[in-house]
Amino acid sequence: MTDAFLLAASGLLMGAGAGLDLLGSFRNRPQWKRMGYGACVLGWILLLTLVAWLWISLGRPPIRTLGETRLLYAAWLPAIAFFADWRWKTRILLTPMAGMALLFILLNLALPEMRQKALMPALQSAWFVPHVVVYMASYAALALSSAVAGVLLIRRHMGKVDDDATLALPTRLLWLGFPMLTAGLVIGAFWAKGAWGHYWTWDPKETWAFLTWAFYLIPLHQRYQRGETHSLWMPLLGFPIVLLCWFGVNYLPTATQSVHTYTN
Amino acid sequence: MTQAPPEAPPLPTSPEASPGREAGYPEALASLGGLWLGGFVFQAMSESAIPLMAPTTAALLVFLPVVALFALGAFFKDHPLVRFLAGVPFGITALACTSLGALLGTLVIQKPLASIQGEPGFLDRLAISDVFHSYWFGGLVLALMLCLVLSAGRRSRVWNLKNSVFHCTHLGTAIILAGGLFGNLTSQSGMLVLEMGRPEKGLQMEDGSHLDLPSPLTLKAFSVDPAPLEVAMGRGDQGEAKPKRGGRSLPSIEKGKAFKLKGWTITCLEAIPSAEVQSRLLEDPSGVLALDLQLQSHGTQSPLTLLANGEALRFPGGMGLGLMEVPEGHMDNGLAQAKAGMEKDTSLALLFVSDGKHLSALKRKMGGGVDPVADASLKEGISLGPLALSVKRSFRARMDVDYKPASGLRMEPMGAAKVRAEKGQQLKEGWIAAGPMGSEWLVLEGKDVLMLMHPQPKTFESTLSANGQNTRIRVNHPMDHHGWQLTQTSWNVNENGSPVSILRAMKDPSIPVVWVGLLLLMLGTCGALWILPATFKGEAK
Repeated sequence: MTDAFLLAASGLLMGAGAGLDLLGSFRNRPQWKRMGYGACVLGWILLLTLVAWLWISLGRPPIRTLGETRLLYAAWLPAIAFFADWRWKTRILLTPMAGMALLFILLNLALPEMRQKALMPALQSAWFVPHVVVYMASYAALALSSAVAGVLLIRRHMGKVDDDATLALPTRLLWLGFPMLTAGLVIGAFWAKGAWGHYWTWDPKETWAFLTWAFYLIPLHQRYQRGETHSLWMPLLGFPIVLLCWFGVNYLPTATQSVHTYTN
Repeated sequence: MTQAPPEAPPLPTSPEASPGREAGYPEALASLGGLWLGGFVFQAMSESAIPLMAPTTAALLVFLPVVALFALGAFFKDHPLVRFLAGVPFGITALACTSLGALLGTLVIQKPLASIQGEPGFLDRLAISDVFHSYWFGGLVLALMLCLVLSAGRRSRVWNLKNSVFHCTHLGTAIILAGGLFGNLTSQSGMLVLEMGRPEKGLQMEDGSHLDLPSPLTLKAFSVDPAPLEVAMGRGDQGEAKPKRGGRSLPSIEKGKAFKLKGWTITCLEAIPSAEVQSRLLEDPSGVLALDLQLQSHGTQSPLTLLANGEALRFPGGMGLGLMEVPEGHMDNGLAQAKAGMEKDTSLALLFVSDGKHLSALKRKMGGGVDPVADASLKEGISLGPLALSVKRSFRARMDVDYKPASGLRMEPMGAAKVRAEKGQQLKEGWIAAGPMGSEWLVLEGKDVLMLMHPQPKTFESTLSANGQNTRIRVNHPMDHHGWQLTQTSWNVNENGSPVSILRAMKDPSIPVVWVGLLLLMLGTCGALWILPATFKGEAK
């Protein structure tokens, strides 16, 4: 059983989960939605199994390459969605979550990587795992915020009226992701101090981490300025910035000056 | 999380506090745009980055205004100017302007202004090529800091949970920014290059200047621990092999270890993380055609061997010499191919062509074009400017390559492993290697090959002697030397084969301040996570 098999199986389950949830909503069949939820839970378990299996077989945390971070991110998406479902009693998250997880699983299947065990000296730090894990968790929460905002904007465009609790979901998810984004930044600063001597060097990746962090401060402060809890456009616009910070930085003119590039 | 939110003080834009129209985004944009423009003008006039200063002066310059602004916010919280500067519109606009400035720094290649030689260009004059040390960027950060400190000061007289969270996040960020500015004014960093056994204290600073550490350091020992060699299945085609992607984790190999890979049982007979390549030519009737040549240059003679269909021999200046073998009876066709090849590769000065029975040669003419060489000249000597070449004999040979452990340290080691691969009746054995001198792989079946991944260091470590004490230093494990933090960044090998350890030295008095700021920010954001969801309208209902 290879990682591709586990990945494909979890992708299949996520796809089935999204389809059942969507059909259940359109046809008003709660049992289909429940089956979709179950499929996503199974898909998530497979993803977690894959992460654990890779960690054991590689003898290092599987978060070194871009593909490995994509895998961790896909595993965080259901975790955040299930938490949000449980905490805020909403069932709107399942389709966007499963769709997004499926997209990243398909990306990993289309762009397979070599599974090298070697870990470069700079990554052999106690800060490595918390830094990447917290960042991926925050990216997952912010991506879900963006996806739900998109869905709600489409529903608004179609003339459907959502209740306050549903409309507040993107901002709630943003509030879940932002502290983790901050934690990732802070942990990164501690790590950089030990590894390179300076906590912050305005390296392109670091600068984009700051830009992402700064961007999300805008919707969080808008609430006070306008008394808004239901801002949908700002969470929606935030995710492209996250993606730029995650791997878009590699294509910037200054990418050669960065020490934070993924290797494979 | 469902508890009612504590009573919050009036928001900055509360209508009760001010009956008139509050200054908002247009005013913020105008004032910060003016500040940015002024910063550009000042930058263009000063033609330099923010200069370094003594820590005491810098501390007074940065932290005293922070305290003063906090007090100003606390005691004049309803003053329209304080309300404007501490308000969300000004803060958001300052954040947006700082972000835009930082964005420029990721779009334009950055270099220290001090390193620019000659007349600076337009981007250099405005320090867009050194954004993060420019006056205008510093001004924007100051504006952001001003907003954060004033807003914290305005809330300082009412203490409750929500205000504590506000203070932690806003003061925390302000302290980080203040620490950053203080660090920008006072921190020094440079590279320390240590050769084995030689005391050294001279730092090469980032702006090209030199600075001495308080006392010298001596490199006592240096070691590189290589990561285990890893092998991969690959696909070999046209003299090139690429590892296949996907699948399981790559097996690491060591002497005596056996493992299964795609149905093959691979046994490692020898593994050398840093190898020396030893190649010799062996006469072998089943090998490729080879020519023994005699090279005459300025009265001296030296032998030369040329192998068929391999890489051309290159003389200093790039002039090339090649040998092409074609099937028996295809000499004419071979000569035409050789001529076309020489017209394409203009660096080839002489190309021998043989069908195993006859030998001919083509020579590049002085003015361009290619001419056949007379048969007699092959033995008597073909003139190539100051050189003359004559053919002594032709024979068949193969290159025998062997790998031995390298004696010294290599910056880019050549990894090599001798492996045996078995599958049913099939048995393959040979060296696989990877490194700066290219790769060697073992053909298993068809285009399937077994190849070695480039060797990597697991860790590298310097043992330094400072003030009579030995300290070990490696990546992620820095050391302190009279207030300078030394981190292991890289290493090299000098012309004697002796290791050279490369360290970064950093002295930044702002660190404790920044750590306090980061801690406050973390506490604040976690606190916000805890109390803020309760303020959502939906939940409040």
